[in-house]
Amino acid sequence: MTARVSVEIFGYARLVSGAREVALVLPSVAGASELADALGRALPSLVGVAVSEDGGGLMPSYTANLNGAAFMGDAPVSLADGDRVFIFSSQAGG
Amino acid sequence: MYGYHGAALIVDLTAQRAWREPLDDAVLRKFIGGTGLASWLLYKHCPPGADPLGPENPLVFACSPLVGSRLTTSSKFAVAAKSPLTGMIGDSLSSSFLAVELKRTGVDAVVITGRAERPTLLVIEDGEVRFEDATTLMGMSALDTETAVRARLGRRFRVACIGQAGENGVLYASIANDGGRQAGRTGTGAVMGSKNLKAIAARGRSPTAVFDGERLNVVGRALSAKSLGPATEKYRTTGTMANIAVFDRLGALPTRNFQQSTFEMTDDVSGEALYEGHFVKNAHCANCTIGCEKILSVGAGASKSTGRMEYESAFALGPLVGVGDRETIIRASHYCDAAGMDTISAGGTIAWAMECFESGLLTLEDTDGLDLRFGNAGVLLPCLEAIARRRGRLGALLADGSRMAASALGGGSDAWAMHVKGLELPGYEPRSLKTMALALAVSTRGACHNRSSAYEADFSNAVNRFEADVERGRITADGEDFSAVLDSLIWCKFLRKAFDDFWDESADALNLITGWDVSADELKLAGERINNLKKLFNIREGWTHDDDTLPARALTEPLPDGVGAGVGLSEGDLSMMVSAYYRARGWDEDGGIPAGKLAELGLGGLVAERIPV
Repeated sequence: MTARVSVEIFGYARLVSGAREVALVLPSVAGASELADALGRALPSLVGVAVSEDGGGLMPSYTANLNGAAFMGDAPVSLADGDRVFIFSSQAGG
Repeated sequence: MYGYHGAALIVDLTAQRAWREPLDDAVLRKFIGGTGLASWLLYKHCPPGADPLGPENPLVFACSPLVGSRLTTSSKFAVAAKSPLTGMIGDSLSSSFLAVELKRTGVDAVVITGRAERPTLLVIEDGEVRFEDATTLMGMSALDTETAVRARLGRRFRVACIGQAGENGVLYASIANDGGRQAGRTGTGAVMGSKNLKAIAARGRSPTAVFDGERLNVVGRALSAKSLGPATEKYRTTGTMANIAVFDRLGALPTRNFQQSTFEMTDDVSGEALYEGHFVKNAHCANCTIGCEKILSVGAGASKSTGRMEYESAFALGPLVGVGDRETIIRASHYCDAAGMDTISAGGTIAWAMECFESGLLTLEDTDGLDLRFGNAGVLLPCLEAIARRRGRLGALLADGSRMAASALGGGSDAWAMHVKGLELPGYEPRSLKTMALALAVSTRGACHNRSSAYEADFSNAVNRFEADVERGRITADGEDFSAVLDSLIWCKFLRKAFDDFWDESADALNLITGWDVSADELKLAGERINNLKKLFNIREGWTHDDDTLPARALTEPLPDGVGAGVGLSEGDLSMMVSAYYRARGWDEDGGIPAGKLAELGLGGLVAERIPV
């Protein structure tokens, strides 16, 4: 089972990749590692920026939020077609 | 003595004299420096019930033990006074070379009282103080004032000064230093202006000794390396203005005076768009490895404007007033820096006026002909100029901030004045950030995002940011104590995630500088003590439980848009969180501090008398 999700990219990652949004197909139950792996393959310029070099997770400087509600961590969460994931800096505030 | 000079400089502008007052080891260890030391000196030197704009209100500048150590981000100082905007404690931080030079004059703090008869430039050169005539500086912007003072005295001098806003008593005027950095919030610039003090120039040749410089260098190099890692990436790249688009998508971007939590023109004013269209270079404070400051430029030739941009300025002069024109936002922010004016309170007060205008409470006659509708970019700069100069009916009304302006205008407009204790809300929507909602309500300096970092919990899975619960009490109290130590040592907030163990590493650095044996637990206790001291000041100045609340809009109107559409915050939920916060602090149910808690914190000698308002 898979889910088609839209991933919006913010901050420095957007500047580096030149992409505001990318469509990804993820397992319908996925965590940050599956997200990062798919994101790194879709936008290789994000590897070493928002995606770890081994593609196994997000860099510590980035976080992922699902539909503006919960943040995605290592624990898998259920995804559905049309979900939106926001990738932005983990450094809150300012 | 290591790390400190063990003295404060007391300056009486009325009598035109100055003297040194000793600061003993026990006081310095209890209150550390920065905001802690400034708060203690303010408590000591401010007579209860003092008029914030009267000569008796002391203006305190406090350095910290880290200043001069060359540790990254450590060149910072705190300013404190009784705030003319809130009537309670006002404190603010700024940074860079002034901190270093001020401390090298041979004191840890400067306490300025009285009022000069004529416009004055206070010159502190090593142990000597001079009072020079500043008449020719009056009317100058903060940037021009600094340039003129350094041209007069020499470039080794570093300068703190006010612009037109401080001269004209704008209650949210700031104090500028080092090319436009600002001690921005709570109106300390108005206090400086009320003293006829246009500028302070400092130069010194008296560094403090460091207890173990060799080991401190090792610690410093490791910290500098970590400061260049992922913990600070945002600050080193796009800067804080990257928050705009993220907050919009999270339903946390206050728009049109908090009537919305998203802004339809976010793409035009996002940090990414500001960066791509206007970025010139990064800038650093003295001894900082991060370089968070984004220098942006607009226009060309005589109309070119170049200066800093941060999230709070971009939000307050953009979405909050409905303005989606990047050039206007940048020019407005640069104007506020030049005039010496807090961008958050300026934007918040104008947003209130715009809502009044659209509702008919303010007319074109009241606004001196300005069509003060939300989104009308063309009126923003004229409105800011009117405020900074207190020009016309509009300038005079808005120069006092949204609370006092609403009180003067009446007609129910206080419902739209988005402030806590008189200080306008920063760019964090409290209804969709419930931890932040509590922190804004209980902060001693009013609606403040910097004295708790409570938003960190909301931007994580630690809490459900849309729902209130009692856990927020402990989270907020802990965040405040952490911030109090951060702001007293002083480390830059942007370094906070670079530590592997903030408490142990901070204690280690402090001990290597001072030769003390401070533990992590002692530092935590100091953080709690400093926050209780600030609260004591407020209690003395008339604080009541009713002051720990949020604006009516946040408590009565659910969010109409964004991912938080339909989410509100009831008075009952806020009250539940405030009570939980009081319990976490060990305070009584009305927010008073029991004698036992004061004794536990070593504050037993200070009496919390309530002064009738």
